[in-house]
Amino acid sequence: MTSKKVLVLGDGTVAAELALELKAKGYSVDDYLHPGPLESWNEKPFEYLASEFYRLEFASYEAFFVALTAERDVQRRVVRELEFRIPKQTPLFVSAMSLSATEIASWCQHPERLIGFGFVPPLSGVQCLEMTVPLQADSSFFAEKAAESVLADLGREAEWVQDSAGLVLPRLVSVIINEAVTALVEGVANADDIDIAMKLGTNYPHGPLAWADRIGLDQVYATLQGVYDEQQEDRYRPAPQLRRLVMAKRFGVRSGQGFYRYEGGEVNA
Amino acid sequence: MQGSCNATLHPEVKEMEKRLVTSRPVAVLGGGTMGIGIAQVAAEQGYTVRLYDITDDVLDKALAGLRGRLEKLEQKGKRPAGDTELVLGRIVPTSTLDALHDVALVIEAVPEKLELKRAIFSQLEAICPPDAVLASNTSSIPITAIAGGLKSPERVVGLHFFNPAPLMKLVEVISGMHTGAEAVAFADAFAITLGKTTAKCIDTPGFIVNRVARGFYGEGLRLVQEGVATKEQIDKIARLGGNFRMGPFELMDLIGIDVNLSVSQSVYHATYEEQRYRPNPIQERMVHAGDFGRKTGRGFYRYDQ
Repeated sequence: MTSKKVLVLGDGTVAAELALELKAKGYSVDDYLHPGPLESWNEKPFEYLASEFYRLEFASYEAFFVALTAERDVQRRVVRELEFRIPKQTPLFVSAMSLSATEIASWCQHPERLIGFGFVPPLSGVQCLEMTVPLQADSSFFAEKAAESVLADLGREAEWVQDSAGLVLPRLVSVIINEAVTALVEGVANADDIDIAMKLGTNYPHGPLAWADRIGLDQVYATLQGVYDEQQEDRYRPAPQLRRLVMAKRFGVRSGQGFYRYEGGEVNA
Repeated sequence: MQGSCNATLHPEVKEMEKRLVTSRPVAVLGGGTMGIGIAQVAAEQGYTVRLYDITDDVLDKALAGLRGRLEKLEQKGKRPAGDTELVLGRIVPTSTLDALHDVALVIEAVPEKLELKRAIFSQLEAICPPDAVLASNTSSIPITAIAGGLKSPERVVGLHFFNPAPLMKLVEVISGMHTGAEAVAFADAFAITLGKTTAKCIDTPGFIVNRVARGFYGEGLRLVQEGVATKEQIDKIARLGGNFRMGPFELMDLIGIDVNLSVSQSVYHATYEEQRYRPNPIQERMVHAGDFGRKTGRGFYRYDQ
């Protein structure tokens, strides 16, 4: 067990699961977890964060973790507000699940200390996390050293991949989910039948729609939109229904409704 | 022949027979991998199966292959003693479609050629009883196209098994544009009596599985092309990070890269070249090289060393 102090900031399932897991492994965690994507037009959360940032002792943290599903401008605003306050030798782990670590680093005063990460919830079943280094960091030495101890504490392996929006698994899974959502909207089959078919017909660990509810539709949408922006290819265009569900705050399991309804943890499709 | 088999049913098979949706025979057309697999599953559950193919030679080979597989499992104790004879006794080979005059259901699993299927279905319409349901196991031809031009397209339904049929739990039940609700209900109930789980869908390219799964392979290949990760890393991340049983490259090697490419091409063309389904040139190059995956000893990985 450890008593390292870290700060986790985010607005989706990834940040919430990470904060919980770090606490479970003995970290002292200060977390700022918004229930859904921060909205550019709603000043309140930003005012709150600004007042918190003003009083926090940034030098007392051993690492910072940021995982946002909000749109690019919001992510930039939060990261800029946070990063310049963090001592330059302190690692800043950022989710590369919607924007590349390089893009996020481009907003920073000390881009070389950023480390990108990604995993697809549920974290409980994840044995290896994807890690990446922004192009601004000339070597991966700092990142590997910083990630080593955190991952050892979490009991997970690191798989180092090249920086790219959505990395490997978030992109792979989100593309499958997007196709399932499109088929659902087109009336090809109902949600249950689509999920059963993918679990039994090709041995997927979860039905894509139930998995989307578990990951958070905000995260799935953010990954698709991020990959779409970076690749500029139609194949990654998020299904409009996914965007509408996020706007309606139907994030999935954590909000009680997504493609299925959840009450007290039970599926109520 | 059928009567003597019923007399020696194992208790567990007897139990299953109570669930039969019809006491009339069912027909399976085509003695290929899918056809013999479906015939096996139906026979195991107590159905009398009329197995059709164009020559006795093809039928003999298909049945000899099945006998070999069943005997091996019986010898290993993985199936009850006497089971092989029981199952094979329920499969009646025939090289004439006229023999299908008494069936309740036909499952067609002949090669994926629309003209061939249409010719067979128009004959079936004349030969089979008027209430017989005519199902196709096609994975790439629209059910609506097979039924098009028939006098009673409402009898035609998709019953899509997955390979290997005896092991894979899923059957997609597909409604063509004019498929009747009764045909769907009968086909669905039949698949459930085989111990399968069904997923109902409408007739669109790739149905559910072959459509939704395209991205798993397509993105895997693109990630490699972009240099984000190696194929070994992607497979590892899919398994350890995502709990997939296999990563995309391991799975393509298992399915067969030739088979996977042909499914990709079929969905791509059937959607008027929707670009997100575009097959990847890497797949075609491997097919050209003869590297089909496990079955040729070489695919994304080596299996011949």
